[in-house]
Amino acid sequence: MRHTVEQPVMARVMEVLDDAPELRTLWLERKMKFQPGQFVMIWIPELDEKPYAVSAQAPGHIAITVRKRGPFSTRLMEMRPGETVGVRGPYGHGFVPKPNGAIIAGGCGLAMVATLKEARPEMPLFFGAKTADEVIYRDRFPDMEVCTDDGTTGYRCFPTDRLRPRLERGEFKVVYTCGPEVMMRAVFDLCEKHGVECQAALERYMKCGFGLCGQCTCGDQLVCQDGPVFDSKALRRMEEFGRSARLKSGQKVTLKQYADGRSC
Amino acid sequence: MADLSVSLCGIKLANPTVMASGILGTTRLLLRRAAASGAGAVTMKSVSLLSRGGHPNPTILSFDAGMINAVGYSNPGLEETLKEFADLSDIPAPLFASVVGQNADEFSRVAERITKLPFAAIELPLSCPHTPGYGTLAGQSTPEATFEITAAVRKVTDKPIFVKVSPNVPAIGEVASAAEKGGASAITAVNSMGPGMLINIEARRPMLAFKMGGVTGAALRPVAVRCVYDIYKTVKIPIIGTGGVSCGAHAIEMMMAGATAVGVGSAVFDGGMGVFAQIAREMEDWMDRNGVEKVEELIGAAHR
Ligand SMILES: Cc1cc2nc3c(=O)[nH]c(=O)nc-3n(C[C@H](O)[C@H](O)[C@H](O)COP(=O)(O)O)c2cc1C
Repeated sequence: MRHTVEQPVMARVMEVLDDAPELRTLWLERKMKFQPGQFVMIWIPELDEKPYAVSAQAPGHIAITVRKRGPFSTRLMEMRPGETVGVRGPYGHGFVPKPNGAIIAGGCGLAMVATLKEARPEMPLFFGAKTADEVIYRDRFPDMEVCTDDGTTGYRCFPTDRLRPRLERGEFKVVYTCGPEVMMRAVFDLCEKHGVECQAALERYMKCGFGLCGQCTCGDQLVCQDGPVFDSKALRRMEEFGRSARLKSGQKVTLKQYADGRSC
Repeated sequence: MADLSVSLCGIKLANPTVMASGILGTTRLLLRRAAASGAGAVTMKSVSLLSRGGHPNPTILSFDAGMINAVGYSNPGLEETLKEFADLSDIPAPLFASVVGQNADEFSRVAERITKLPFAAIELPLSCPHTPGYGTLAGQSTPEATFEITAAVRKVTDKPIFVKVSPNVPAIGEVASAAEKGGASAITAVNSMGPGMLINIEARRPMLAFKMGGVTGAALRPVAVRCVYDIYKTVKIPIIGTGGVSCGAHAIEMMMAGATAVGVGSAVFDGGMGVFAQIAREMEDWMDRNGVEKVEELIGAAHR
């Protein structure tokens, strides 16, 4: 019988890069085979453990990109080279790359799709942030179409506004997305309207990461194991997608309440 | 074709597997999915009067011989739970509720409301080893407390009550007897054992945030089988044998020890939701090979 040992294994922080005032990338010493869209659980002993996308990879190394939210992410961002964090994973199902794709990301959701863009550099990447200060990975993806809510850089609109006309022209067969769930819902609805497949990476409060506890459920799916990337067929059946999520207790709340209650 | 159906306190199960509490039982849709994938019955995640966030992560890890967890009874509380499970009509297997409390009064206050939901039975775990205020940490697994809590809940429900016991007691038969005297309809044996601990040697720290947690899966199985065997000798009510079952042979072993139904939890880790159907298929194969027509004939076979 297959029985895997799922425990955090300590990894050394090699380098810490400032992406934006409240966003940092941590390079960790860890060899890992993963698909874009999968995630790892990062453990800080005596504090907590949280899921993060693998945001970049180099031989023998992976990176995570951390946004400042609560005590856990704050501590993670303060890590110095030489310190260690626990890593387990990768978990879940990632993106399934297909021809004629486009990628659309919002905020730190870009971390989740970054390795997909690297694997498929021909795919156009649309990125939305609140303001110029929050635009990350500019050097990494020089062809990225940047939009900001306040117009401080790039186009002053939502990235969906840039995607829409090109979907109307039938340029894409599949759209990959990660970002705030209201944005992903808008992307999905747009794709549905144009008969284009959508693959969205969802986020829910997570515990085990391997499909046992039922904490991260969305519809009858487990975000940790069936997801985090879901295709149109699965998204269509998820009444909660774009509407509600569950707190640590399992209480179902609106996405806004969920975002406010999150303390990672 | 072998007959896998069992009758548990008058509840008909298509096969003896029961999805154990705390495994995937957080929502109506997950219970439905588990039932549709072949579980003979499914149990909801335990509910307490007020909502609980549970312990910080890591809460659930695996090791070479099983799992360890300190989830800490995270649940949205009674009121939200009443909404979540109000309609269970589209779920293709019997459902069991699970109620926890800090004392007999709290157990009965929650059970009194939960009994109005369309669950076929109510389980009372008196045996969690890692949640302060509940289970073994609150002294609920002594024969006296077991009797008191069971009797209190008996007053507020006509449904079958399953009392879930801890393997960490010197004389498990006495605890089961106390439950039976208090009005229990069945015994679920067992909850997780320990608590145990896993230390990350590089970090030099325990890995669970609560430091210690209940041990389940393979390591628990021989202990669970012995507990079921002891309980079968001391009470008349049926037993839901739970602990480390991951294949048909394990389920048959549990039934031979005295179980009428077989709880399955940690095996979902390796086998996914298909594990219930897989176990049932393996039981059927074994019965066909051994000329056993009705699975109920196996209950307590090791005692005869
Ligand atoms: C992650 C996890 C959460 C659990 N939560 C509960 C719970 O809320 N209530 C309960 O009565 N038992 C709970 N249990 C115990 C199981 O129901 C079961 O008794 C135990 O895991 C032994 O069975 P197994 O070896 O098949 O897992 C939990 C077990 C695990 C692994």
